[in-house]
Amino acid sequence: MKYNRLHINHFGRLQNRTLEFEDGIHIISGPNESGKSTLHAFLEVMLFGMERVRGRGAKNDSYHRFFPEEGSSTYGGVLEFTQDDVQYSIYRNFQRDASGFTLMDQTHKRQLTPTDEEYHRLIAGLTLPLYRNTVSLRQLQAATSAELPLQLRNHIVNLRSTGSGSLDLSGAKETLKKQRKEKEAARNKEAGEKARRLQEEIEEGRLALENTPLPEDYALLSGRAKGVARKREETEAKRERLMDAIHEREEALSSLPRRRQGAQITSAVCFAAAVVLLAVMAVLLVSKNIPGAILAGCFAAAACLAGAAGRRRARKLVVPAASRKQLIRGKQQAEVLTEKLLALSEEDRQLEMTLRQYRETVWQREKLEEEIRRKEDELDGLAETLARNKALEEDIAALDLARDTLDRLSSTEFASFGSYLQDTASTLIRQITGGRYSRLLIDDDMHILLEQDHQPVELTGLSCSTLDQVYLALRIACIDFFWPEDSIPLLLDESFAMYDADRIAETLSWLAENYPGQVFLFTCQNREAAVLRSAGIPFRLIEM
Amino acid sequence: MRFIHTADLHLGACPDSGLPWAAERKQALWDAFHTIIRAVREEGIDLLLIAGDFFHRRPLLRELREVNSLFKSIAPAQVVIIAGNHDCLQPSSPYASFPWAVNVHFLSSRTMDSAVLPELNTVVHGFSYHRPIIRDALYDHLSVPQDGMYHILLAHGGDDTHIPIRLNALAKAGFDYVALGHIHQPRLFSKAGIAWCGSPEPLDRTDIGRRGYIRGEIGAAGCHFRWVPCAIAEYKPVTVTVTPSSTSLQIRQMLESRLDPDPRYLYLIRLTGSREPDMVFEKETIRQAGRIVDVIDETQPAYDLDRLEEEHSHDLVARFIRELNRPDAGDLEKKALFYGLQALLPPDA
Repeated sequence: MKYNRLHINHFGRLQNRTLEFEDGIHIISGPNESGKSTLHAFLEVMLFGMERVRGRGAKNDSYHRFFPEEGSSTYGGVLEFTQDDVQYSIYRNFQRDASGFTLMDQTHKRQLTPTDEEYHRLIAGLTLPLYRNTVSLRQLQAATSAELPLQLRNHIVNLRSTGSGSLDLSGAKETLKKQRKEKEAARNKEAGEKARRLQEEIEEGRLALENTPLPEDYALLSGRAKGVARKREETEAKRERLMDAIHEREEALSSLPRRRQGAQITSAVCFAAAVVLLAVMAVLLVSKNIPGAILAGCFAAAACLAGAAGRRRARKLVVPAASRKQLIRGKQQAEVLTEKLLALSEEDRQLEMTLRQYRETVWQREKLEEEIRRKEDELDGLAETLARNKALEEDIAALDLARDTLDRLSSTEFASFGSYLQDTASTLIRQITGGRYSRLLIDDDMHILLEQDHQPVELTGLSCSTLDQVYLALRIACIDFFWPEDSIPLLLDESFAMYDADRIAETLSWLAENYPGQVFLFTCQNREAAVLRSAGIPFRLIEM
Repeated sequence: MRFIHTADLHLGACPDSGLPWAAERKQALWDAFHTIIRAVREEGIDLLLIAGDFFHRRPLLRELREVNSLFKSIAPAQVVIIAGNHDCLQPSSPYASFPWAVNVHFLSSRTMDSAVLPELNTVVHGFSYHRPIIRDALYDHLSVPQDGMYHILLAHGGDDTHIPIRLNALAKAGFDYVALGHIHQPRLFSKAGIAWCGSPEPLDRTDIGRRGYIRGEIGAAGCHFRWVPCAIAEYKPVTVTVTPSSTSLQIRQMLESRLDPDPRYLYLIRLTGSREPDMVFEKETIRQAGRIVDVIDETQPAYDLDRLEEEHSHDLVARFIRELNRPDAGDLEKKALFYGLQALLPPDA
């Protein structure tokens, strides 16, 4: 990129001024307040337009600062430059805001209406922050030399993190972090926990179901119960019938026993009397009392006959005695039945208990099933929340990935940028300082060291002019990094104020020999021109 | 012989759980069953076929009692049921041992079984799921005896994990009618005498379209059947194409004028198109436009990635884009890309 010519209609204190430019070094000199800074600003707004601040800061913005007291209708001018062998003219009228912009392709004689992107390319990919950080060099604004290293460091940090300048990397990372926090807060952590718990409880419920098996088939069980009940009923009825029969017989027999006993006693007494009479007869026979003996024998025979008659009567009562045996057998049978009934009712009781247990189990199982169902339904109800959680988790993963990628890229970006900067600036600093300093070292924390005689030297120990040289070297290294193929006009604003004559000669002759683009040196002194002249370096002097 | 064929009633399920109308939807599933019972009673139906997933999960005893008493009430109509993947028979479930009414025939076997209904001159063949997943094509090699009776197959499945079904094989088996369940959308193959009746009521937001059951008749003239709509609710997908100027409120207002307010319609809103990069559409705001089950945001932030990459060719942005916009990049990368761009290029900068 090369500036060919500019014309100022009205801009701040400058009006109706035309400046022509060549390759190589230009010295723009003039006393303070002569319009050097105005020209500097004019170049910037011609390329990037006028920034206008609204509201409170408006009074101090560029628009108001350079608003011409006269000729405000032609507030602006023309900048002519060459890029990629094409000549362009930018016309701007700031009075009418952005609408006062015209771009001409002078080589092909046509007006262009470029998109932002096309325009950006057309001015060599320059952006305002990049322009300000590299091309348009202002002097380091430090009050003391102690602050300079810090400023230099900040400058590189800024350059490093922004690349082309408009990015706010740490801000972006902060934004991502904040978003992550918000997503994290929106995530319903309890829902996931609850779902897990419910799932576990459902499993437990199923296990409990398995551990509460139905003892056996209900139909079988109730069939058996019915069988037992029927059998019991039958037995009960049988026993009932038997007992009735027994009862009846007993009733029938209850009138017999006394008569029968009487007859037996009578016959027994008769036999006993007969025996006694026979004994008496025997005694009487021994005592030879024959008539007494005959009498006793007669009585004995009579008693025997009476006894036999009694026996006969008693024998007549044998039929009821057989019936008594039957009665005893019936009673025995009844006892068996009672026992059987007892066993049956025991079985019945057992079965009833089993059945109750069975019903209890069924009820327990149904309760377990209900509980499982309730939990399954609850789990289903969580589905929506869980889905939302999942989406949030995906967002969080994406935010993390974005941040990691930014971290990785910026560190590699810096690694390449930093090492390039270090290598290129080292070469530059060696050349500019005539080999006094062999290397410039930048560590990960953006600390800068110089190397002198293989010894590291802290910047704080250096003179202001050396620091300025380091600053220049770094910036030119940056330009070299961003525009390896292009030559970009370099604007140096009072950059050599701190230099002694030798240092100026050293630096300017290096620039003349090595810098591929135009150099514009703004100064209020004549030293630079004198140095160039005595060194025989060609330059163009523009007096303001 | 007149029959009704239903399936996938999913009794006990809770569609749209967590949404204001969830209880209504749960009840609607039972209502669908009652509707079918009423139809059987009022239209002189001889046979009710339930082709699986009668219940959403293993049924509770009280649920079985309830359906059984309803079945009893439609006698002499006969009912044949099989268990599907959702209500598959687990040995300890009351489903397996329930004492059904005499007119109910539960084909609970895991292998092909049949219910012979002499009064209808019909045999219904089928078997029940005993596990939720069956990958074997168990319906592929069936054939029916030529015995002068009507033969019906009651079957459940039709995808890879639930008994794959080959219609050709089924058509050749010689059934008078094949009553299928599992697929919630009705699919009728009239010539082949095969049909998925679909669920009588949609089960969730993915059950798009109308739902009902099948009514048919088998006689000397063969088998004729048709689909009868009966569902109360209907899920409708609605796609909204947004622009970078769209807001949640605008979308809501637009939907309010576009959606039929009849409460039977439940809407699934899908947002597509491109949105302002930092726009987040508020689902809750959009949901107020009607009975909206869900709002799915598929919009893309309106970034011109090529232009951005070109514009930022010197800085991190271009490399960031290249890093995350690779051709093989997945959803995560895409999302990360947009989050990163949003953070790197805040809209007011």
